[in-house]
Amino acid sequence: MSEILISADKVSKKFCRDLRTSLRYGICDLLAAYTGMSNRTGQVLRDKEFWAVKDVSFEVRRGECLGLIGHNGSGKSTLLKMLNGLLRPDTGRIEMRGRVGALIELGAGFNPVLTGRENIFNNGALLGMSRLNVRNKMEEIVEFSELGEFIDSPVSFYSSGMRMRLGFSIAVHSDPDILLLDEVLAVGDLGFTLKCYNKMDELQQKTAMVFVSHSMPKIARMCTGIVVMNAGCSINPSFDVSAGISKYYDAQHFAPGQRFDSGVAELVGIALRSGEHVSQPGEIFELCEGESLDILLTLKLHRPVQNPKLWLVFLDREQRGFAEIGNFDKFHTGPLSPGPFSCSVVLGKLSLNPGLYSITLGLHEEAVSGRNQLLRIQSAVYFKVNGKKQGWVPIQIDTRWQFS
Amino acid sequence: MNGCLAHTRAFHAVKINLCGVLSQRVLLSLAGNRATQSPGGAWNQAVLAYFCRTRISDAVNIRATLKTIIYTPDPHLRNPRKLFREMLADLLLSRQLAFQLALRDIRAQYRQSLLGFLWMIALPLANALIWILLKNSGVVALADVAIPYALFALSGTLLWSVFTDATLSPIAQLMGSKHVLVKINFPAEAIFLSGIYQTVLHAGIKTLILFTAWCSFGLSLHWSWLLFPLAVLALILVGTTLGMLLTPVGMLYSDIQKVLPLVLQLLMFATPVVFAVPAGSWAAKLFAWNPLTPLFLTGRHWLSGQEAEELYSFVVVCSLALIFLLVVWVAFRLAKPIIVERIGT
Repeated sequence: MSEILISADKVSKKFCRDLRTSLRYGICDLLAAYTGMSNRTGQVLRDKEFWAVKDVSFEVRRGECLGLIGHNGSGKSTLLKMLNGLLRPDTGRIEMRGRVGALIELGAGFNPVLTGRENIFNNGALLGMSRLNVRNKMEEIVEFSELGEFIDSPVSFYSSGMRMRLGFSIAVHSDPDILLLDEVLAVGDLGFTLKCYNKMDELQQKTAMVFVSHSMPKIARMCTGIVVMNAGCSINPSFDVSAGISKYYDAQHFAPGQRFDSGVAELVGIALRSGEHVSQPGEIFELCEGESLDILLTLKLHRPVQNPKLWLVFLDREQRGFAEIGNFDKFHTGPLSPGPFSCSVVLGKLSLNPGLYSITLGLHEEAVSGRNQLLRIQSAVYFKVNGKKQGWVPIQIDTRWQFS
Repeated sequence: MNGCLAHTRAFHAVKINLCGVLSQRVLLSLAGNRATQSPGGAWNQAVLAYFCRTRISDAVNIRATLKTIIYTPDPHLRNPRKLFREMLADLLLSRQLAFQLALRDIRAQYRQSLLGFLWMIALPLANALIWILLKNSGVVALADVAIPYALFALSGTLLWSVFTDATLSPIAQLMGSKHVLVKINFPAEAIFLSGIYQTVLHAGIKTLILFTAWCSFGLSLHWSWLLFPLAVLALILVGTTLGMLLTPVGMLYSDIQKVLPLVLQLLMFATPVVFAVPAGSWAAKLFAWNPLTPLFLTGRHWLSGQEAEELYSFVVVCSLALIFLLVVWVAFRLAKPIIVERIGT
């Protein structure tokens, strides 16, 4: 086992909702600090205060990456700032071993008038690098950021993505033992973001990371452990990544379906059937892992539709499509006549990972002039697969293994 | 297959080991980079060794192990020895950063301006000019002074601008780095130090201008000129102490920053800046109690080669200011996490 670099023990922090009251408390805290008295008010909430972080404990070893997830305002960034020593915990104890590199915000401390190269020196110094160290790494940093000749332009001419490139390059080249990352990679283009993750993989072997993100695939990719925050509290004591991610999803409410309707077709009903069990409208249909699933559809057309094509897309919780049914025209050729029209899609046994899914459906018509969309209903129906948690990808392939 | 796995493991172990060595090197370069670079290296190492409370030969080993930081809600004043050790260590660490920040600010300040350095002396020059005009036109009657009034006024306003620069600098620097302060953990001493560096640079230029003006009036050189920079530094010291005293509350409430220029304006009239110390009125008492008075008087005396009569008060004021500076430094350190918490992002 490698050494523990970060340990947090029952850490709490409170904040005040009201600015004026907050400033007054600030003065009180100042007086308490100056008189050297123990902060008697540390343990209890004063008027208009709340716990932004409450009794959170974890440990991160070298080579591990802890994911911090939770909805907005759940205390992730506060926790990260405490780890970075920017905020002092109101209760509990934090121990950080080694050199801390933190990307709470990329490009904090950039001076817009100065060039990228000059800002590398400034930001490097802020992150604790010596001038010589920065000079040695200059080429590496510039090369990693892929800014080319823009490196000698003022930072105020940079796009947000370019600033992020520069900021990230500096931070990862400061050779930290502990790396704290707060949702910083969101503005980069795909190529650079992937490069960043590869760089982080490279760093991970020698650092302990704490990583805040709202992107579950990235959390699942990077993290060896996870803390799910909800209203300041950690709600998963096990640190298990898959279980944590599904806890996070459970705390989110899902959006109702958006519909596109051309007035030509309407969806009268959509139901799911598993064996004898048929879903009621509006409910989230539940089935067990490995059970079969059929989709029953009733549409109503207001005019004849030439070359119709009905399609279905399976979405995960982040509304990402992961499977599609597009073979309608294999089973139905020719026009559809006006009036009600029913069909069922027999899916058979599904090997889906337990979790919540939805189905989007649409109807379009292949005309000479092109594709004509008639109907599209986003997340028309939700269903939940129950079972033992396996992984974090929707489709679990039930495969055979051979050993030679 | 098993062999392959074992091989991978071994490879990882080597890699991690290598990384350990790498991070040690980083720590070394962080803590002792200057030690190996500059001629003052031995001294630096000695200081570091002291803070690590070991002999010099052990200092390297201490630095090679990981530095542990512990954050708890316990008040810092409980452990003053630790507090002072941290303060000095941070000050040592922040010298290079402060230099970098000062360089950044100076570059940025003058790159976006045509007149550049001229702006620095525009205000004291204009101020002096107004008073020279007021006196020459007879609008205000001022007591005669030992040196030409134009030089008296110029030396006064230039010294005064050094003092106001130094006073306004800590809080202005802090407010300017607010967004960094809440995002990056670095020794905040660097912010103040960078402000002092800039004030000193500006004061140096102002001193040169003053010397030039002095010579252009055809007045003779005097050896006590060499002492004049001491008066300038004393003003910076007193100004910085006053400025830092106001930071904890000034960071929370913007009132301080708003009222400070006004207070300084009033204070100017209780200081021998553009007129000499009035004799025999209630105002004389005010001047006598103003700690800035001996600094201005001594500065001018050194400039003109007169006997520095107020030297004793000068030394007392400077020593007190030094002690107070230490106190307000501690006060700021205690206040920093509270400020960061309350100003948010």
